[in-house]
Amino acid sequence: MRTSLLALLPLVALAADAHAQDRKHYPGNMCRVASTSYFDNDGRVANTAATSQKFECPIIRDNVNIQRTWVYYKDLSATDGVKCRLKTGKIDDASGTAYWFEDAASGNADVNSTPAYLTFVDQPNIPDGYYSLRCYLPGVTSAGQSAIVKYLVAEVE
Amino acid sequence: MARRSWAAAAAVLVGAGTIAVASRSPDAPMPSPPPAAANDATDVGQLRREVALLRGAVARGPAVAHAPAAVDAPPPPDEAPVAPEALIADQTMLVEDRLAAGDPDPSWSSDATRLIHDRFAQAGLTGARLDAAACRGTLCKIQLRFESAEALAAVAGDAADSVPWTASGFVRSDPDDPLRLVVYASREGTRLPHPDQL
Repeated sequence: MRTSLLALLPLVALAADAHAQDRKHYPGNMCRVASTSYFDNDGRVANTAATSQKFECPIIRDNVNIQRTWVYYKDLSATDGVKCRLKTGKIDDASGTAYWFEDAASGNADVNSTPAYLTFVDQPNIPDGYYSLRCYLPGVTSAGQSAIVKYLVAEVE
Repeated sequence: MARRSWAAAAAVLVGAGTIAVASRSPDAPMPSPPPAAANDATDVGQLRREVALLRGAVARGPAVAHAPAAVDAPPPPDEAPVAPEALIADQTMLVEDRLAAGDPDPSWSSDATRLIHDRFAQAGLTGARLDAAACRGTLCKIQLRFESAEALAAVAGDAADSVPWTASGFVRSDPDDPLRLVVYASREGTRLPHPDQL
């Protein structure tokens, strides 16, 4: 105890800096449906409508750029898939708009009753830019409701 | 992550200080302290000062602990100051160069161009017309012109919907025409080349 506690500060800082990637797990129910009804339970968001619905999933930017993003989903439709688009853009200004986008989708005929995931890779570094994740979930089928279980975003630190 | 580590470390230290201080009840009669207790009181005072310092360090963030002399300086930028315009210009030059480089698969190019026209005919963007679409190699360029700045602003975020397949791409305003958006999209199964990945 006589050893100054302040001497521990560099050790704590070193431990914190050892991580090169800042990962955040977002519950699927942070996604909000852009049109009609939605349902959330156990951290998931599910489409309770009969038709495909669009969901907006917020991502907080607090580092440099996204290295990887994974969207965990359940797809219970044998005729439609889960489709997601990740965007990275600059805030619109006098020079206009600009953004990069990447799409990922499950196969229309694929059914995943246990969570599968879509992967997005490196996004450009746009200073003071924004992220946007939008997904379409198939409508309800006799097998049940398709859902976004969670999404995992890994930013470069 | 770093901030959480700091908070956790501070919580442990604050907790240690609290326990040390709480061991002395203010209502209990205070006998004359033996010499060892005097040392304890000194330790408690030292702990209190250090906990106060740590609380301040946590509130200011880890950068202060790395560089105490910079307390009064403005916070450093959290990322390299790369102008978005430079990245946009580099990206545009890169994809334009690729589009001009030749067309190893003309059958894909013509099919893809037709699909873009079909998509726009079936589900065009409100207030927009398809000015041009051209595909070469593994890239397509789609030019959309809008009837007004308001129409463009309303659907600019959906301009990538003009690509009828699963793609990666880049959308930008046309610097020569404020009512035009240009969409560059990769062929399905390929990725848009990025200037920082060359």
